[in-house]
Amino acid sequence: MRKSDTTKKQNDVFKYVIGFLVCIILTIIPYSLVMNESLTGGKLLYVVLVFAFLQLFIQMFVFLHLGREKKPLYNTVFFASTFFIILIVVVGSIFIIDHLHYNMSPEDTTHYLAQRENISQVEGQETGACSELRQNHSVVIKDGEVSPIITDANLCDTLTITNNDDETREIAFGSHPSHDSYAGEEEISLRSGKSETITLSVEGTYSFHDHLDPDTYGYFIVSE
Amino acid sequence: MSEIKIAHHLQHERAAADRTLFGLWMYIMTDLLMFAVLFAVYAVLQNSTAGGPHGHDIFSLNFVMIETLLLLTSSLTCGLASLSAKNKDKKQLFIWLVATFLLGAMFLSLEVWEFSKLVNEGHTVSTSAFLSSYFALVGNHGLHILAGLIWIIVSSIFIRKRGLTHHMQRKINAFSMFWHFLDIVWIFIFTLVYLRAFI
Repeated sequence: MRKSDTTKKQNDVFKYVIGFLVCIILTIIPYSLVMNESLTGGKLLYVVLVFAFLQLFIQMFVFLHLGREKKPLYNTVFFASTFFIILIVVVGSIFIIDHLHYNMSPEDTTHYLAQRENISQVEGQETGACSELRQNHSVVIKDGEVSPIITDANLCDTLTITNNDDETREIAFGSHPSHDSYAGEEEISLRSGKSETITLSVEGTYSFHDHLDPDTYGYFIVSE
Repeated sequence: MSEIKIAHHLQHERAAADRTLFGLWMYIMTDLLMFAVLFAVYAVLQNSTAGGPHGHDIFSLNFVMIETLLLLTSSLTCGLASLSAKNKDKKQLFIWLVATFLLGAMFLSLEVWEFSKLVNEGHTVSTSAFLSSYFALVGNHGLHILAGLIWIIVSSIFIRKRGLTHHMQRKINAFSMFWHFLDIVWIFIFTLVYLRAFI
């Protein structure tokens, strides 16, 4: 009688400790995935979310004993219904606001969106979006210098800006501090080592600079 | 006759305990809903930085990992505390409650330190929508942790005074549910606020 009591107690403790260790592992894995940048962007986000939900369920079963209460399973059912309400509220909010942002954007953002979605004509009017992209130009920022400092491009070329410095750079167009936007692109945040490509869909001569360090600047000329 | 009365009484007590814990569970579900709304707000506003810093400019993942490990361990000690309460082991219960308190307090002080560092650098709650929603979400979690810490202190005083009764066991169970729920919310803060900023 006594022995089965102590083994039962030991089992309980054992279950908690194992659950705890699994949670530690489920925390360290997404952390290292993000630190190592082996995956990036949308894929990494989904993987990290999967780990979060795994840990959620481990914690619910091991620590909160969900599903192990006496029937009827009131707690479990309540949790499931709350979970669905949360899903609707959170996903719904994100979807609605994103939709509003898309549908109520100012003119130059509309230009950028038309470009991104390859919409070349709306109600008989040309949007100015590029139907096919041509050459890519590469610009690198290193030691606070932009090279090449002037890029000569044609309409519908692309421009890739790479930040090879240690600090984050916020690329803005026009003169500091009253920035303009170029073809709907506003500030582009480039962390160390990252790059971003923009489509040169508007003609003219434009400047860009690092908002955090305006002495780092460059130009690009877009001609027909 | 009196045996039947005692059994009856125990049955009522157990039913009362079940009802209390179910009520607490419902409270936790509504609290979860409040956190979910704050998460939704953060998700929508996380890029509205008004020229100020983004998440990846001001967060330190290593620091947050330490906070996460502290909170996870406190969840373990809390679970062990509820086991001790179940086994009516008062001494063990106190040890694990103190451990949970210390770990929770360390977590909270790290978080307070993080917040004051941000404010001192000029990134306050009124700097941008991103920062407002960040402080609202993570600050709300911190407030809940503070409430949990106060709960531990009060529970400990009551157990000292009145002993480990059925009532107190129920209270320890209730606290334990609350504390685990806070750790669960933290998993999502860790993932959707801190890790997200670096993706």
